[in-house]
Amino acid sequence: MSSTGSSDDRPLRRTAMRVVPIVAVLAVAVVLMYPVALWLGLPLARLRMENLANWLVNTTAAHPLREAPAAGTTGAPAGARLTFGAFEELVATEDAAPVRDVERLVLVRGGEPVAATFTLDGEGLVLQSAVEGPLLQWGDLLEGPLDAGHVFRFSDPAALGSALFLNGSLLEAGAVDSVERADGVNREFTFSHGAGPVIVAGELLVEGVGFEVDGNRVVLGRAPPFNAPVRRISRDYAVLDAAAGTIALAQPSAQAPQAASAVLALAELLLGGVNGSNRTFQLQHTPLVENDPARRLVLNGQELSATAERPQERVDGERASFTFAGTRGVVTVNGAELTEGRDYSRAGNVVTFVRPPARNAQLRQYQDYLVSDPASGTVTLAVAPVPGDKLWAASYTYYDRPECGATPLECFFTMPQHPMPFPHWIAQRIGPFLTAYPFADSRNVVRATIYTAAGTLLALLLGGLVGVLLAVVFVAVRPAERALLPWVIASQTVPIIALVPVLLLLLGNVGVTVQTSLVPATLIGAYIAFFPVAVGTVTGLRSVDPLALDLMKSYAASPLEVFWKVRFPAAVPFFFTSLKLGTAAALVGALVAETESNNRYGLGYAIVGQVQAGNVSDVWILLIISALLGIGLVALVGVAQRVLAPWEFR
Amino acid sequence: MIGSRSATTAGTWRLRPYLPAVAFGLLALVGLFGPFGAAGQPPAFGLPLMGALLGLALLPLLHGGPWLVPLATPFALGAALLAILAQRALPVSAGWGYWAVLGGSLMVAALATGRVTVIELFGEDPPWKRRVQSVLPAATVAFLLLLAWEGLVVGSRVPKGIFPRVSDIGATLVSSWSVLMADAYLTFVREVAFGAAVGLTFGFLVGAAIAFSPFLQRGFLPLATAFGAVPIVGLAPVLGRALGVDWESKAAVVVIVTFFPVVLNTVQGLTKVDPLKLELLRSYAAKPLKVFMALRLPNALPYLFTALKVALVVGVISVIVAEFLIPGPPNGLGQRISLSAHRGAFDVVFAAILVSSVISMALYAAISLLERLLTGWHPSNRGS
Amino acid sequence: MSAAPPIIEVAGVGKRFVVGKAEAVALQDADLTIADGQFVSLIGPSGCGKTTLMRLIADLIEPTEGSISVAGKTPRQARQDREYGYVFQAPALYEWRSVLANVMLPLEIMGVPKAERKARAVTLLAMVGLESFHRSYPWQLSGGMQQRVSIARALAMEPKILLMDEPFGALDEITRETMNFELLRLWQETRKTVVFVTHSIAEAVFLSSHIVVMTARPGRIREVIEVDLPYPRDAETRESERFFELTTRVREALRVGQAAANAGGGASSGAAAAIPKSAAD
Repeated sequence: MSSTGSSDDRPLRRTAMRVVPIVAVLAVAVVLMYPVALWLGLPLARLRMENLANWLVNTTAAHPLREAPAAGTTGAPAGARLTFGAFEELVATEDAAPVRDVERLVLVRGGEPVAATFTLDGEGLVLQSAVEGPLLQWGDLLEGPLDAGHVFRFSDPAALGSALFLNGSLLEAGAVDSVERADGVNREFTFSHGAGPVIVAGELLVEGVGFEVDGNRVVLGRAPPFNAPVRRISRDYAVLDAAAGTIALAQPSAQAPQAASAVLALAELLLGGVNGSNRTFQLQHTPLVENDPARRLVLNGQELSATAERPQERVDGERASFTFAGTRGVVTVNGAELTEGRDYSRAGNVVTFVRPPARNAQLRQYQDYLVSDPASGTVTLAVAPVPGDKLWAASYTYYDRPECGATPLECFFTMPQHPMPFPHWIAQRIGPFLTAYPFADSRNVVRATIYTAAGTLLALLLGGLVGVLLAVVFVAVRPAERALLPWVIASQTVPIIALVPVLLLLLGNVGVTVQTSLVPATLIGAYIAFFPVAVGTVTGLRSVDPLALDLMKSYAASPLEVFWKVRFPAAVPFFFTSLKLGTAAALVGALVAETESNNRYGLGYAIVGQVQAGNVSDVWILLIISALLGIGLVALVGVAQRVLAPWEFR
Repeated sequence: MIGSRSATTAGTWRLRPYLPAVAFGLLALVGLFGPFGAAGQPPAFGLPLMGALLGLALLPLLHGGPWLVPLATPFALGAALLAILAQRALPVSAGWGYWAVLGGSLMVAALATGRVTVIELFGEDPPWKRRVQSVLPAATVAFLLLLAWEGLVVGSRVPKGIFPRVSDIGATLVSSWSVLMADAYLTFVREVAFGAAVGLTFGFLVGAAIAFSPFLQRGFLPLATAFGAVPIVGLAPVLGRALGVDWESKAAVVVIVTFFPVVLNTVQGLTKVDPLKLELLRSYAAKPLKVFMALRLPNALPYLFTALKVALVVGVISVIVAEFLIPGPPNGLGQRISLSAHRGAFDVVFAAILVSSVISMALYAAISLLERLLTGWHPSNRGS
Repeated sequence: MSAAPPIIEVAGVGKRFVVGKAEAVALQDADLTIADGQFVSLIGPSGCGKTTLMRLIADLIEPTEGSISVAGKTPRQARQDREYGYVFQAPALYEWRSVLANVMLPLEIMGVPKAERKARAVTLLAMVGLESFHRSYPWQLSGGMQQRVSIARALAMEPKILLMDEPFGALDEITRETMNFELLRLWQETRKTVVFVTHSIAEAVFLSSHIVVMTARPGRIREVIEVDLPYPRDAETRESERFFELTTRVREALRVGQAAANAGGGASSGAAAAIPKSAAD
């Protein structure tokens, strides 16, 4: 087996053998970060998804005809097919048989139910009996276009909300809010859906002119002012300015839309038996938004009022009879409905309770109806409807779906901050983060790193000096070591970090401005570093070969010469090794000192700032920088060793 | 007659006063006549007693016999204590008399003890001498430090918010004992012990796995030294975010901080095996598992104890830093220190620090004891 | 060599090491037959390959050419079947085990039940004269005593062959002579085959029935000298005429052989490359 190969593939192979494993392990570690990030982040995403406050809210209303019949045709014959806007919202396609669907829906016009029977199929409604009366009545044409074809105005702003038709087709309104809040600086916004123009506080922005699209993100030309609402049109149009009565179309049109009144519409019935005695019904889309100003429930043609009356008398805990304004209604005590006859008796507008309500209890009488349970959409009426009555919902608001996404995984990716980010996100952040501020600005990360490095180096200098002095004292004066060493060791069990506040206070009293000074970091770092240096140097000073000492004695050398020529060179490698050991800890000490003293020039401040701002990726970058700083400082100490003590290799 | 004279042992009756200590003793005596109060007040009480103590201290110093001199120490310390108490009773800050008595008696104690440590002991000297020589200096230094601290703070009337007195710290320690113990339990048992246990176990397993593969060794070890440098300052908040603000996040900090030294030491211990011992097992055709259990594992034990000690020291520091940086419910010694410091209750700060130190030292001593029991065979423990 | 059946056969064995860019020949063309029950010493200067040869027999390294048969099997098989006991230059005792536990180590690996291995260990320690040191730890024993434990341990598996690599090298002269006596006594009691590596001519002549003279650069077997001194041997044997003749003969063989090797026979490829320290001596 003779050695083959050229002589220069050996060093290459050796370098490869050293580098490849490190790269492999690093790669594995980075890959492992992904599942860990998911493991940490998915529970939070799930919480976010389940929190109703993060859900998209939808207001449902009666859905008008989709196709406008020519000039308001009167009536529709049996067998005619009608299509309505947002039909799929009304019809549950998975489970309900057509018959049951019919029981959920009612035809209405102008707020009154229209008597008609019909069946449903997947696309629309087929009349089984003829419908009398006009299918729709036209209103005004909108004014405009007020700009390049998007913006139109109602001549009477109060008419805003009536059905709009353009070229015979119904226009549906819809706009979705941006995920991010406008903070006055940000120009990038994400929308969960929607693909139309963007509306910023009443101003319309068109794609290509006012904003650019980048993936699922929209980049505006100008940053919107603080807290300005940022919406994107998700359907055919959206309200631009309610007070002025303007709307914006998603697609530009030369022709103005026309409003229509009294359009035949398909509305939701409330679920529940109409049998003359049942008073409990349910809305079809749940959970309901509480305190919903848009909630309008209609019985036949009469809108039901949701007002709750208070009694005239005070609830003092002893009184049992109360007077209300109305003579009927659902009576509740502290939100719980009471049954007439069992819990109370009524005489006109006076209600007498069997047991007096507790002192300061909430006593209410709901004239028409009350929402007993928003989560399940349960509504309790004051008066039971009789057979033939139609109880339907003109409009109400409910929680539709989570804003962040349909699955926890989607919500994970739309979270603004993650407990642990994916590595490639961190990598993407490096460039912007490091160059966010110019170098001269104290917020620049590189500058802060140099500042902290300077503090740590000073700490090492001081700590090294003190350590060496202490070591020399220990070696030269025997009693000192016996007396002091146990206490020096004990001093290391005192967590120096705990003394930082004390130190800062003392320094402050002495007159040092701790917020801008390197002194705290230097002192703390020096305290941490001096101990290993002292111990190591003592070992080094003592590690002299006894024969060398005898040699010096034979030269009749003075103690100082012995120290300088023999002990000191022996101690130097120990000194540097222990200094390296203390470097990382000194860095930690300096960082803590900076953090506690709010020194804004240093790296510690940057870390705390990013943590409080919640920019986890930036915190990771700072962590990596700190680690590299530690390694760099150790290497620097090594270089110093090479320069000052070249006679040793390590 | 001449013979009987010469039979007297030289030095029994010759006086060799220990002059430096005598000088300080005289200084202290002079101070008794000076004002204890800045405005000229004499000491509140105890003047004759102080004088007696100082006199008793001076006697062995004047005699100068090397084993008698340290007897001055307790008397001198007693005099210093009395002076402090006397000064405390005065409503003003201290005058030169006080400082002279305090400084003089403390120096006497220091020098008297120092005298004993430079005596050369021979093999036939009785063991009590050896014991005195090893114990006395450290003990004296403790008292010296405490009295000097108390004396300085009392004499210069430092306000309590700036720097507490030793007596105040002691009082707080007693009064807040249960709170501090509860904090210590949380910090040491829940966070440090649990975190270190997890870090040790996990580190050992990973280290054992790495020890089997030279490839992994070349890849992991340089990175471990690098990762060990990640400052807790940044790590703690990240963990706090990820795991919440309770004790789990702080325990996680301990886990991470102890993990890397343990891995390094485990790999070293399992791989730095005497090659002859390995060849011996090879000649027995022993299976790798047997090699691991019979050779690598016992060989690694000393390294594991090193790792354990490092884990303790580093773990305690990290846990306190973590408690500083992860805001949470105010339990745990680090939180206690941080909160008290911000409130200005520095006596609580020092009391908590004291508790922390004592527990750390106790744990360290326990580990050392365990180490000596289990690895008594290692050269470092045989004193060879 | 004699009428007894051969137990170790080395045929045309060579071992080459690659060190850096150069190649070192530790052993070349080695042919040797050792019969059962013999006491064979390998002697030669540093780099002659005696330790290499021993490690090849023990299957601690593999030959680059040639073949070896140990007790009729390949070296690997012999090692798996634990046909030999190896005694190293250093005692290689486990510091965390007591003397008794150290001797029991090979028995543990062999799976011998506890009571039996304790009994055997006790017997072995008695055989080497260390009955009262069961509970002691290695560092409490002197160098010579540690080596005795090592020998006892090597005998624990009752191997047919004992391979000893300069076991007494670290001991002083006086202890070494005592150990030589002990070893011979043991050998007479147990009648194993012993292969013994040594630097010392006197030791080789005193102990062995046959001496293999080896030369360095490249490692080669030069000559096999039969030692016809009668057993049992004692202090008087050392002072006999025949002893002196034999040591002189061995010395000559070494000197002449090495001179011949230096002059012509077999300079290794390339310059004199250093053989890795662990391989040769």
